[in-house]
Amino acid sequence: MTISAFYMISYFNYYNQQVLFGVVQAAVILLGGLPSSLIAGKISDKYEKVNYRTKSYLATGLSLAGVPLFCLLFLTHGNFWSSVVILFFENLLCEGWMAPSIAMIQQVIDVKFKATAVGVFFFSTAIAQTISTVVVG
Amino acid sequence: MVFGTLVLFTGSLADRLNRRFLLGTCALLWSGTSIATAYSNTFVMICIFRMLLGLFESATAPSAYSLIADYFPPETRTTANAYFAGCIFVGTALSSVSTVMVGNLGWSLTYLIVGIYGCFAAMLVLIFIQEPPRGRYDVAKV
Repeated sequence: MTISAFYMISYFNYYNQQVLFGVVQAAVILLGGLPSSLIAGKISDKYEKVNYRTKSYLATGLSLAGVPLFCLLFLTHGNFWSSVVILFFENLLCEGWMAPSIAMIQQVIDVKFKATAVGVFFFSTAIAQTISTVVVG
Repeated sequence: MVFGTLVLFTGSLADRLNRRFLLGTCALLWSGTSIATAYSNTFVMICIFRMLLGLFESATAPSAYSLIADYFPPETRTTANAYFAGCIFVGTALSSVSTVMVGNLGWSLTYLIVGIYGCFAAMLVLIFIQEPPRGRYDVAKV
């Protein structure tokens, strides 16, 4: 989310229209990211009894689904609104990976180190976000 | 960077201290940094308060997810995580819309409003959240 926001606002030179970008970004996140997270959580809990690997399938599958969509977002030299549509689908299809990932940590890590493990997870994501922001530019 | 680095240490802290207290206190303190930012008049002061925000915010996720693990059984835990992660999306969306507030009210007043709201939310955490016994739903451990 951070990378795409920085990228889009600079690539499309929307510095002077940050209010418009803010409202569009909010709509995309609310209509795409929020349902994605909730649906992934529900699916994970529902099918966990059928297949104990449901969480890992969801976490990896949703993360991988983001690859082509991010490629489209960053490599398509279209207009602003076509990128917004791609960003919406990226949010809708890919942002549900976090809840199953953390549920796996909560399930397998010893109670003494559970919060530490979550901390390591967030450390990894923060580092990845920082590096990718620099790489994308 | 501050958040990313310190979350390793605050995670360990959440394994040792009362998570309800840690979560509420850090939320109160980071909201305090937003209020302090509203009254900042130099770039250095804003930088310092933003770094403090990262410090206090880094204690949130480990404490919250550890609490969720002890509040909800494994059968409904991913859904509970999803609601918490969903609220992060709501917060991110609200932060995007804050550009409207900045445009109408100015950045200083926007920080003040966000900080006051955060203090109110932190007080709710300290009043209503209970500290559950650690690992009460744990069966298999690694």
